[in-house]
Amino acid sequence: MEAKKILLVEDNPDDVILTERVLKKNNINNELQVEKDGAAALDYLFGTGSNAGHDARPLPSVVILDLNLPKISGLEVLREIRSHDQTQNMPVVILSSSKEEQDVADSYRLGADIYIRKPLDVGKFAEVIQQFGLRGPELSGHLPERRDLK
Amino acid sequence: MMESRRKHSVAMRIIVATIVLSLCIIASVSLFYSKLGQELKRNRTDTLSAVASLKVDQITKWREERISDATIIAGASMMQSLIEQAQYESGGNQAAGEMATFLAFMKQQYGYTKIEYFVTGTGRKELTAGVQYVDELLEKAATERKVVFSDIYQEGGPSGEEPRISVIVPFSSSSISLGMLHFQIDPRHFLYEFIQTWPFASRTAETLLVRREGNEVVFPNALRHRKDTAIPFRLPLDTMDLPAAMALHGVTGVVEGLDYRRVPVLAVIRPIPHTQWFLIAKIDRDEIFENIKPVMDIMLTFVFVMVLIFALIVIIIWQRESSRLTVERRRDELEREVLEQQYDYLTKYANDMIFLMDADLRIVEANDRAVEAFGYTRDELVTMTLKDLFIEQHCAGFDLQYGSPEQDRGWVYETVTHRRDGSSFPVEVSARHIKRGDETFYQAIIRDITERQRSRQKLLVSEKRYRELFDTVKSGVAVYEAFDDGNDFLINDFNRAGETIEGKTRDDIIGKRVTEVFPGIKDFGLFEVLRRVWKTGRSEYFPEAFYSDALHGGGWRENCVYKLPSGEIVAVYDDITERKCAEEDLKRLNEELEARVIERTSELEKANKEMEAFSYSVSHDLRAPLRSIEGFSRALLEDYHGILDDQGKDFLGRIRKASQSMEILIDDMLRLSRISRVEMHHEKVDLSAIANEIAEDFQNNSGGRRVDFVIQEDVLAVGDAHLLRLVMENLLDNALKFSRNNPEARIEFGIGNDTGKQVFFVRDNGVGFDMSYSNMLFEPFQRLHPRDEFEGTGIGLANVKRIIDRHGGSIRAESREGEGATFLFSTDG
Repeated sequence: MEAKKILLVEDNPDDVILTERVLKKNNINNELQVEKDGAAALDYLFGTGSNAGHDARPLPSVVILDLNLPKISGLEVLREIRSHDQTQNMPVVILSSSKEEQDVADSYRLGADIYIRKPLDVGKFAEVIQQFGLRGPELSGHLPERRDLK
Repeated sequence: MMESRRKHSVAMRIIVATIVLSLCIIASVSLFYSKLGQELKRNRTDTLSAVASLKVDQITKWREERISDATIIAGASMMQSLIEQAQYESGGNQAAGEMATFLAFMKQQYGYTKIEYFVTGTGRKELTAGVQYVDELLEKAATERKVVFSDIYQEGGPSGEEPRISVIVPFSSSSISLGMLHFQIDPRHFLYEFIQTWPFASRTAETLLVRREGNEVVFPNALRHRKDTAIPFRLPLDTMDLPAAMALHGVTGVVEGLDYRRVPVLAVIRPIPHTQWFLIAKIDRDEIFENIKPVMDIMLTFVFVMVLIFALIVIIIWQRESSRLTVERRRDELEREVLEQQYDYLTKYANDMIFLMDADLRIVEANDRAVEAFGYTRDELVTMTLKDLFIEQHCAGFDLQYGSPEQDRGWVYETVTHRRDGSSFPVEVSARHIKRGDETFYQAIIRDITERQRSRQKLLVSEKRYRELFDTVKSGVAVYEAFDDGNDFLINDFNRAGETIEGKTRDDIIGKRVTEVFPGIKDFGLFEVLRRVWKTGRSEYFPEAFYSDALHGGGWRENCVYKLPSGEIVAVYDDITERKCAEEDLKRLNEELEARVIERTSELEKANKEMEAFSYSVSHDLRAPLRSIEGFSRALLEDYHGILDDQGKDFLGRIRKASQSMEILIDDMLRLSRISRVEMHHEKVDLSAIANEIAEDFQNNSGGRRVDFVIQEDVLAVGDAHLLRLVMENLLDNALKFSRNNPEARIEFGIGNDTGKQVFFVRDNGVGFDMSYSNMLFEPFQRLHPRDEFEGTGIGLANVKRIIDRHGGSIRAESREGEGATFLFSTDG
């Protein structure tokens, strides 16, 4: 079985490299699908726009989402994700440089599973993985509160 | 008083009327009574007369019959022959016997008690009947040779003394010269019966026969009302009220008197002809009035009662009147007493001096006040005249004043008097004449008018002051007087300022009507106000209004209108045209300013918002590269650990630290700017609680470092909770930071006193700072310690100061190097 991808929505290339590093350090070797803005992310997830015509691929096992994105903001993307049946229960990790309480609150309100501040710390991330059972190639960890969709 | 008199006369009238009425009643009843009496009496009299006449006739007739009888018998020839024969002794006895038989027979027939005969000459019996009286009669008959009818006389009979009447008939015949036949009658048969019968029923009426015997009145027959008395009944002749006596005195006809019972009677007296007898027909007075007696009794009772009632009324009214009069008199007396007392009291305690002087003005009496005021004793005053008390120059008109006794009303004048000690004082003298009996006195009431004059003076001064004020004050003052019942006002006075404002002179407008001088006053609205103030007496403020009329350009005026006690209306006013313009300008400016402020505020808000967005994005954009630097430096350190030498690691370490500092700086700057912009919510903040939390937090995370926290409880401040928390965090963090080299670190927080003001303080016993640089303490980015000893951007205290400033408070710090620092702050100036 092919390992699912991880969708990383981030516009800063440095942050991409750093995030990738952390994942690798934690033995998460899934293929990373990087989208540089919110619109592209949604197109990728729903086969719209630039991705139109393609079959709905196997959805990523998790979305790592930055809030500060060009075109469509991270919160908007989150909302979109949560409003579509196929992506309703998809694990979403918000990774943002913002310390604003408002951003944190909004994220959780809109259905994010966890909010982590940048820079992503290797050790910290390990905790997160532990907490959310994100492991191995399958990376099909069940988040405690979520139902398994078949 | 009048009331009383009227009452009195009314009472008197009632009394008089009552008396008169009762008298009338009595009079009329008496009149009636007497008239009735008379009527009855007359009635009875007639009856009595009739009866008396009848009886007299009867008796006369009877008498005549007896005489006639006797005469006939005596004249009977047989009689005579018998008598003759009887004279002769020889056949005399037979004749006598026959005579006797004959006489006996006659006696029986006629009811005589005795018949006897007497013959003169030979063989006559003695001309004596054995009774003296009869003998006299015989004598008389013999002499007069006429029948004699005797009076009633008494003779002894079978049952004592009995009445007898004798009829003696003389006769003569051939052989007898004189013979007499004596017939004796018992008057009780027939005669008395006549008398004693009464033709009709009556209770008391009777007829009586009366005759005289010596000095006595004799009632021969039985008395109806005295059945048990001796017959005949006798009474003295001089009983003048006895009808029988009257009869014997010659009175005949109707009489009134007292009968033998001493009972009032009505009697008719008739003489019986040819006799010494009188017939009295009488009836008791009582019987006459018998029938009417009950009625009369009732009437009398009635009258009596009426009179009694009237008498009672009279008595009652009399009594009431009399007591009322007594009361009144008493009251009058009391009044008089009181008045007298009052007078005495007044003169004694009066506040004015009262003198009584004789015609020469010598003082006779002086009241206490006079003695007191003038300083002389009463005895001294009594030797002085009123003139002695007056100051010389004032005496001039004096004599003139006092000289006229005709002035009944008295007179008043002012002058100056002096006391015993020579001091003088102004007075008002009120003098008058007083008559006591025949003498004329003067009474002077003298009042010390020192005060009054002083007041007068004050009033003058005040008047002057008022006048000056009136004319110098800058506001216009107009004095109005209501006219035509408030339908218009006259201008009584107008001050200088007013003249200036109106451009008119006082003389032009005084006395004129306000509607004439200021024609626009009604439209202006002031006229209504003048009226209202005049009507209600309540003052009014008539704010700015525009006045204009044909003569006047127009201007703004402001009026205060009020009513004086005299009834005049005063308007104090100002021309506020200029002020009004200034006001308008100001208003306009204000409005412009407002608009500008609103504009500016919205601009500011916009700027704020932009600022917010800007700082947010700036900080975010600034942070990104820092993140990269930090991230990759760390990655290098971690991933290329083996390859790097110490220096390489060291360099990378410094790179990391530098970028971290930068991040902190960005955070601080962001915070600083936000502090200025964020909205403050004021509430009560428990600083002690915050301090305790920070302390606890530290203890939990200090990793063994011991710090002694002395935190005062219940320290409250008013301000923004979040910002004040930042202050506390900052100050306490600083205290902790700069005391970490002291193993006996001690941090205090509480309320203290800073030169009289109440402040909060945070004190530590750490490293302290150089006071000479204290002014830089709260500047941003200024640091007083080397970075390698104590880290920090130098922003913290700037933040704190800015927060305190926003609260309107103040903060300062004290320290000695090596001994710690104390930060003192307040949140409300």
